Order: sequence, then C-alpha cells, then structure tokens
Amino acid sequence: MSDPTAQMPTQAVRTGSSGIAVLVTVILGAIVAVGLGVFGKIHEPQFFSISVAGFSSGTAVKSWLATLAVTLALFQLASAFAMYRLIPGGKAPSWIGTAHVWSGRLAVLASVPVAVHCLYALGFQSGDNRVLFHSLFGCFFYGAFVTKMLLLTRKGLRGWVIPVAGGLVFFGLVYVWLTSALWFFQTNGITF
Amino acid sequence: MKIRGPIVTLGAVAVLGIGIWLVNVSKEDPEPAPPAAQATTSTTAAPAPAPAPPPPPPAPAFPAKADYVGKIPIATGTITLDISVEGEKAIAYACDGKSIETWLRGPAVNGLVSLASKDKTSRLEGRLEGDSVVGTLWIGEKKWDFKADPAQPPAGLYVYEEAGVRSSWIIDGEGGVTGVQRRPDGSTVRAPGLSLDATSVIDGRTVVATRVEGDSDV
Repeated sequence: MSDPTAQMPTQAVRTGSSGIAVLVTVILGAIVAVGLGVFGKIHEPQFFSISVAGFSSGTAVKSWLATLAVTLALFQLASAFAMYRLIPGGKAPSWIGTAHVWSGRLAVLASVPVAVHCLYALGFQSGDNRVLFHSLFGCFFYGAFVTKMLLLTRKGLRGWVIPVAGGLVFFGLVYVWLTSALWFFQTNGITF
Repeated sequence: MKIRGPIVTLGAVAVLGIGIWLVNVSKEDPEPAPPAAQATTSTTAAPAPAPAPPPPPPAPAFPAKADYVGKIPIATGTITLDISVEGEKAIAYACDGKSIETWLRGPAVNGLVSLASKDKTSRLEGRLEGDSVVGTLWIGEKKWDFKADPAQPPAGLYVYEEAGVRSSWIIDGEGGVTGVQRRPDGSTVRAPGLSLDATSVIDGRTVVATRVEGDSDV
C-alpha cells in the first residue's frame, strides 16, 4: 500500500492548489451525501434486508454494529490526539498511526451493513425529528468520510484541514449512533 | 501517511456496500438462481470454494417489518385490526371506532403470531398465509375470524397519550382512519381525527401521534 512513487505527481502540483484540492474533496463528499439522501428517498423501502444470525432482530444487529463503530471511533479520536501530540506524555508510540488507520477502516466497514440496511429497507425518512436527523446525519457521515479519505491523499494541506475533516466524520457518526442505537437500547433495553 | 491507503479504504467500503446491496436485491426475487456451475462444470474446474449450505426449506416467515390491516364485520359495526410485526415481536390493535378497543402483543415467529392483551381478556392467533395473516380474534366472550392484508406506511398503528387519556388509531391501506380514545376512568369514545401525517387536534391543540411497531413498548 505504501507506494512512494505515487506521491510524486501530487507533490509537484501541491503549492497554490491546496485550497482548490480541499474544495474538490468537499464537493465530492457533498455529492455522495446528497446522492445517498436522494437515493434513499427515491428507492422504495423493502422493509427487509439480510441480517446476521444470532441476534433477536435486524434492529439489534444494527445497533450493535453501530456501537462497535462508535467504540472504534472513540479510539480514532484518542489516537488522533496522540498523533497530533495533544495528549500529555509527549511522543506518541510509533504504532499509533497504523492503529488509527486500521481502527478507522474497521469502524467504517462495520457501519456499512447498517447503512445498507437503512437505505435498502427503510430509506430516507422524516417521520419524526429523531428519524429525520438520523437520516441527515447518516448521509452527512458518508459524505464527510469520502472527503476525509480524499483529503488524506493530498499533500501540502494546511495543518487544520485533516483534523477538522476527521472531527466532522466523528461528529457525524456519533450523532447517527445517538439517534439510532442509543434510542434502540433505551426503548428496548440492552438486547442482543 | 500512505497515499493509497485511503483510496483502498474507500474502495473497500464501496465494494462491501454494493455487495450487501446486491445480495439484498437478489433476495427480492424468491426464484432461486439455478445452481448450474456446481453441477455441470465439476469435472474440470478447480476446486471452488465450498458452496454455501443449501437454504433451509422455505418456512413461512414474517418480513423484518410489516403491518397487516383487516376489517371484521360485527353486529354493531366493523372492527378494524392492525397487526404490526417487527423482528420476532408483534403488536396489534383492534377497535370499532366507537367504544371497543384492545391492544395485544406477543411473539411472531415462523409465520405465527400469538398475542394477548395485558389483562388477558383478549387474544389473537394468526398465521401467515401467502402475504396475509389469517386467524381468530377474541375480545371478551366474542370471537371472530379475520384476514389481514399487508399495508404500507402511512398505514399502521398510531397512539398519543397525555394525562391518562390515550388515543389510538389505525390507518388502513386506503388511508381510512379508525380510532378510539380511552379516558382515565376507563370509558371509551370515538378518537379525534388523525391526519395521514400522524397529527391530530386534541382539545384544540395539534399533537403528533407516535407510530407503533412490533418492537415498540406501548
């Protein structure tokens, strides 16, 4: 995955174009977010989606996968703080970058079955405020995620760009979780 | 930071998402795909990954989430019945829009629902037949056979409770609304109207009713 030659062309054009690069990634992320929302609105809900064996209901599976994603996201936040040396104790351990990458990958992959179920079985809905905000934050999360991934491929960005993008992804996921899994656990108890 | 890593991540997310989506879409059509590759090409083909175990015989099963609405003609009018199934739980409400009403709940497994009211004076036994639920509803001493057909939102169960006054409604597949309001003293009257956006005007105030689904705790 580490391919030093791939960095060369990007580095050559970086100066002066970093603002445009950020704008492009934000636009691409916005297209993804709006696209998911429009798609969820247009696609006819099926009220059915494949599930995982061993849980009481599809909603329980989703809640636990989402909780796994949020737990990993909390580690993302902590490891990002370590990478930016914002935690007391000075230097971050050398493995923290790799851990950050892989915990993030696992987090977003854990969220994918949940999101597909939402889009396929339920769609973008606005029945009450919880559902509306969940739909909005769900779309926002994937848009912000796409932006963040694309930003990571750019060199020469201003120092605050990546942390802000990562923070927005984290914010999106946490709110998605608060409006779904937390609500599920509060209304149903901690069920598997 | 690696340059390609994030792109790999994006790709993995897209592939996983699309993959699960396609599996879902393939399940839409109950017609099984012909297992051609398995049977005919085994002589020369390299050992393929072990095929998934054959699916169990198609036992009747409820969708993950569904509402069934039926009308039962009775001596004094019509009882409207809505059964809402979510996962392995179901909740049902039956009322005549005047005074009779009952909430029932219970399990929904293997295409069977077996529901009872909290005070056990009403119960419902139903089974999935085709896309509909057929069965028997008991309220007090009386019983009726019913057939409830699947209905799509906004059809379903709605409830609003405040100060001990509970209004419950069924929106049926044609958008018709039947509801009963229960007062704190236990008396029941026709519920105020409910719009299809789940709002109702109760005592001069516009309120939003809660949609009830099989898993809900009402």
